[in-house]
Amino acid sequence: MTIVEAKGISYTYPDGIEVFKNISFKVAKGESLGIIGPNGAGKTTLLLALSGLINNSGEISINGELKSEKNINDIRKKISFVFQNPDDQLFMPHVEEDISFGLSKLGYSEEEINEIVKRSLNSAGLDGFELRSSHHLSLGQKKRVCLAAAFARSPEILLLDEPSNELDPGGRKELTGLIKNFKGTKLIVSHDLNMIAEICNNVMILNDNIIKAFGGSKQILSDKKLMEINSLEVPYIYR
Amino acid sequence: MHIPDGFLSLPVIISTSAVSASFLYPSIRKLDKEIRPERIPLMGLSAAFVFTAQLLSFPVFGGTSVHITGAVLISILLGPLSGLVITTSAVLLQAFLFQHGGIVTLGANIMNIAVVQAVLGYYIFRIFSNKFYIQGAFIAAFSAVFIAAAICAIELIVSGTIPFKSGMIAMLTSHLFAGIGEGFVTVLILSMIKKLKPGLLELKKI
Amino acid sequence: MRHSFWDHFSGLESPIHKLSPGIKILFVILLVIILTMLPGYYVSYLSIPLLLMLITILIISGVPVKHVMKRTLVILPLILPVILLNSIFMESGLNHSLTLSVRSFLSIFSLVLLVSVTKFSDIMKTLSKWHFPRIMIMILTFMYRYFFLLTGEMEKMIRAVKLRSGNTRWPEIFKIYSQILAILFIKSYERAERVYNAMLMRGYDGNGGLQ
Repeated sequence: MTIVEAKGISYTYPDGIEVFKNISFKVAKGESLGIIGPNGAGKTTLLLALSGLINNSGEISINGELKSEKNINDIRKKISFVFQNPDDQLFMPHVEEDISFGLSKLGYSEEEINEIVKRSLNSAGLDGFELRSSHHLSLGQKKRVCLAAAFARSPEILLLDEPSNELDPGGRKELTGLIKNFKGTKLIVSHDLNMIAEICNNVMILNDNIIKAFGGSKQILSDKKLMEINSLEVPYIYR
Repeated sequence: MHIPDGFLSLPVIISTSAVSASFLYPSIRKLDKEIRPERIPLMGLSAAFVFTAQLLSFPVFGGTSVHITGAVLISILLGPLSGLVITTSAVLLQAFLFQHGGIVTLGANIMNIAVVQAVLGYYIFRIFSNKFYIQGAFIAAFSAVFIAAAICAIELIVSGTIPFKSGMIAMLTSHLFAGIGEGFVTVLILSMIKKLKPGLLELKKI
Repeated sequence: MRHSFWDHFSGLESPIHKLSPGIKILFVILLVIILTMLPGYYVSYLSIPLLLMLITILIISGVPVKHVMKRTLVILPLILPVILLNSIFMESGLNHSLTLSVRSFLSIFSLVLLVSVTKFSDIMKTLSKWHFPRIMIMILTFMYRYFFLLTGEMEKMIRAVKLRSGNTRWPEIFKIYSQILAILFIKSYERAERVYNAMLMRGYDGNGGLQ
């Protein structure tokens, strides 16, 4: 069953630079899709378009519903977006307030929210972090709090923008494990091709305003020639 | 210019608080009704910016340094009501977390920094802004700091905290330089923003 | 410019920390009002018992005495010029200055104590309960969260400038620092846009406060 469908979508930045032009793709429920490509290919912009944070042309359907101004709030209820910089995402003074932010709008009661905060911190390996201040956390901890906040909403779709960026190997490994544990649909934008190889079953290469390749993760990531002409390289496990 | 607790007498505290409240109450109600939601994080980040900018010591000749208040700058960028509320928030946080300024003197400090500088300063700027944007910004920033210093001195004198003549002279001479510094820095920041991201000078003024 | 520890001890668990934040805030406001209203004559009599009371609270709270003292002494540069002016130009100068110093010292001491034993978000929640304006609470919350970050960004830029051009002096430094502040404002604006996106993705619709 298709959960994300893009039909002929295009987006041009306000300054006139085109990022993607007339691209279409489908993502099946439960699929993990890696979105890769060189800098400036529009990977992050694609995630912003899917969540209605920018106005693209063309059609995007989430769960069979055509995205529009009217239903965007309902569509966003199904999506959790983990932004690249945790300092943008964790905007409240303490961890607990960040994780519970917006949960009351999903219809949870106060007791349920407390329960969810505990449970999601536990699942991210952050027991007892409720009252910690975000600005005192390490980058790895901040990233895990972001994931905990994303899981707390029990989303159907998880959008991740450069989740492993700037992390040390230990932190990266922990984060990869957490992302793998999420059972719903995942779309991951990343330069970390080893992580993409580990998590994703499908991969999309975005470059020169179009989708250059879309298919099985192993088949694309191990294609040396395809990877190189798109300024990418084959991850270690496929060399 | 942040007056600490213990420096003002009761009549001064009551009258300055009344002035500040009579500005703040309608402004906050108006903002609450009219503000677009995306403006709220911008106000918060701008307040953090003002707060941070106030910490930066500009070294001047003779080993001394000056600080800017940024009140006129933020009003020019976002508008007088936004400026009023943002600088008021900065005064509040400074009082509670930095012990810079006091609790019962909040009314006076909000009046000197937020009402006089952010609001009055903005309208001084508006007199000139159509024809002389940069000069207007300088005059507004300078006179806002200078007028606020004079008002601050009067508050302290009426409270009996500082002597009349020497107190006024000390406040005004020291803030003559602070005002010139504020003016220059305000102008330099505005022209730099104009060069790097001109759209930011065109934000809706509330 | 190291101040990341201003409310570093607000997370401790002492009987004082556990008191209702509303009571603590009211207590401090009341204390400061009393100090302001009392004639100088009484202030000097009351100062020792008040000081002892604050010190007792401080010791029960388990917050290091050194931390509170250091934060309290930030008042000095503000008090000194006033004392100087008074002693030179006023008749009752010294006596008057003493009262002033005692008033402001005790007020500041109680304030430092308050933020050392009360979490920032608890102060905000209490103010919210007291119908403090929603928009101010949101601005203060964002300020508290991002002030540390912005200070860090500013320090990084200043270090970079110093590395590149050595010790630049007045008046060029005015231009350089102004440039840094301009960039800092632009960065803050861009961050505000990204923060708003993050809020939207978590269901923020502009109604109500930050929950």
